Amino acid sequence: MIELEGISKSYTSGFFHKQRKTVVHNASLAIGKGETLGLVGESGCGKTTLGRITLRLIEPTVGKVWFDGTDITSLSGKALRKIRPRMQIVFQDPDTALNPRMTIGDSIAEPIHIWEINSHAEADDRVLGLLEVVGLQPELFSRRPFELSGGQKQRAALARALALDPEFLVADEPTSALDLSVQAQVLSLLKEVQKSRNMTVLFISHDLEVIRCMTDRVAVMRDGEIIEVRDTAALFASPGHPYTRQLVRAAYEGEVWYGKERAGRGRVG
Amino acid sequence: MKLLDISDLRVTFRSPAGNVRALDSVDISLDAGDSCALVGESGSGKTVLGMAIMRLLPSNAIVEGMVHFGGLDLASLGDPEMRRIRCGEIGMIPQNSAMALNPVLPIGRQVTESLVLHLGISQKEAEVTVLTLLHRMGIPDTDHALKQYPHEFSGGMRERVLVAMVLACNPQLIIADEPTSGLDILVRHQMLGLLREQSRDKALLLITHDLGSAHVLCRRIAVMYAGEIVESGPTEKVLSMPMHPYTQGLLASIPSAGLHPIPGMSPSPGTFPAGCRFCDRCHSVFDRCRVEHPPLKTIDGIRLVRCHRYG
Repeated sequence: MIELEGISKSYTSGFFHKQRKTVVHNASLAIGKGETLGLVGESGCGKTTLGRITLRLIEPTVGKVWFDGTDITSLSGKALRKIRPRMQIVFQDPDTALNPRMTIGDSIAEPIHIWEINSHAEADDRVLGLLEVVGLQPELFSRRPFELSGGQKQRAALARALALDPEFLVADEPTSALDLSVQAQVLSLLKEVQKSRNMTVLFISHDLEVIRCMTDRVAVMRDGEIIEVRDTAALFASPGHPYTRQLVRAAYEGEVWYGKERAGRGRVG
Repeated sequence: MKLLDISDLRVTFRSPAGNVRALDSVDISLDAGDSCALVGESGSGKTVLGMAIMRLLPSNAIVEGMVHFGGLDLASLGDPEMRRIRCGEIGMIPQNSAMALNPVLPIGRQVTESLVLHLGISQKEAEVTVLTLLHRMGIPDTDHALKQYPHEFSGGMRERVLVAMVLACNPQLIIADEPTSGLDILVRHQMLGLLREQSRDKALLLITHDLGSAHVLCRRIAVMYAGEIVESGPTEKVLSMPMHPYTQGLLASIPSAGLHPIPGMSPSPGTFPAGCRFCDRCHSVFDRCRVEHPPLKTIDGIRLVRCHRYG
């Protein structure tokens, strides 16, 4: 469904573009239809950049991106715009996705109005349907973002991303800014929506525990490079690369495993 | 006599819309070598508690109850004495490292600030003391580091600098407010190791929503919800056999437990329901819960729970 081939991204600075910083180096990935691929790494590893390159929100310096068989890297602006409704993104900070001066209803309806010829009544119906899908009360339709909690805003951002029924969704640290129980609400919602719509998802996070329960396969990034791609269960059971092993060990430290998998790791005091 | 003794602490905020109770009847005590985690989500009151101990709440806050530190009633102290306590006796590691450091001052000036002000020594003398501390924090090339500015450091390094600043005066009580929030996995791992090592002979109050760090650093845990402590006890016991429905819900909502969300939302201060504050979201609510506010009860001598299920 999605294929990244030899993607590199560098930024140059300096008067004659002498200084070059490579943020992503020769990254290749494939995501199958209906699959959720996790992209994990620490700050600065390039995962967010790679996520945005997948949607051509950032242009790669080198390499190709294939979406459902089409090479989107070489598409013109007009042709690319036709594909855009099929691929969407949810960001970590819902405040950047939601216009603070628009009501939630208008924010969610906006993509519908831009892309489709609907009457306002039809669009409103779709929005109410979407609010139900993400578990928000219909009254929130006419509220503004500042009146909503973090979790509610993130659900609204998700509703907006789903408005055009995309086949591919990039979720970039969608719950990092949320409390534990709110995170649970938003993540289970995301899981449910992915399943019911058979969406292909690229899930970017630095939280290994979240990656573990949300993804089918995981790609580990470090310093701009993909160092390991494995089935999620296999990666956690026996991480291959030493860096991955370091991450998994550190993530397990003090983790509270509930139920059957009680690891009992971590020391007290 | 306990090092830190908090009794019936209540914090109310005055606002144009009326008074809002943010913290209600909190009792906590700590000795040197003790460690307690205050765990809760946004609106639980845990940060307000930390700020109340340090007397750093805004002017519209009304603080009632008792906060005793080393036998002293902190509320009775004048500003200079309280400043001395904040400098040298109680160290607070604040939440956001990027915001907590002065962006226009080199690191050296900031880490030595409390030493210079508190002990009256010179800048140069303070730097000598601090160099060893920075080295122990794992900050490389310390001579050069002193001259650098916060923005030249990574997030993890800034956190260590903050810890160094707090430890410079060797406080007896460390209050760490969300020290692992937003940190990468490996940096978090290092921070936990650092805090564990540095708090060995001191008292540690850890304010966090990261259950894992509470598990690693603290012998005791107090779970807060809607401004109150709803459960407390030895960390291992509370996390493996939670008694309060909120604690149970929180543990069931972590990813490895299956992401079972607690329905509804935490009430914001000022909108707490009558009776038990968790009743609207509780899976085992009785009629009694909606009208009668449950007191904290002692179970088995070491655990406290605020829930009508237990008598």
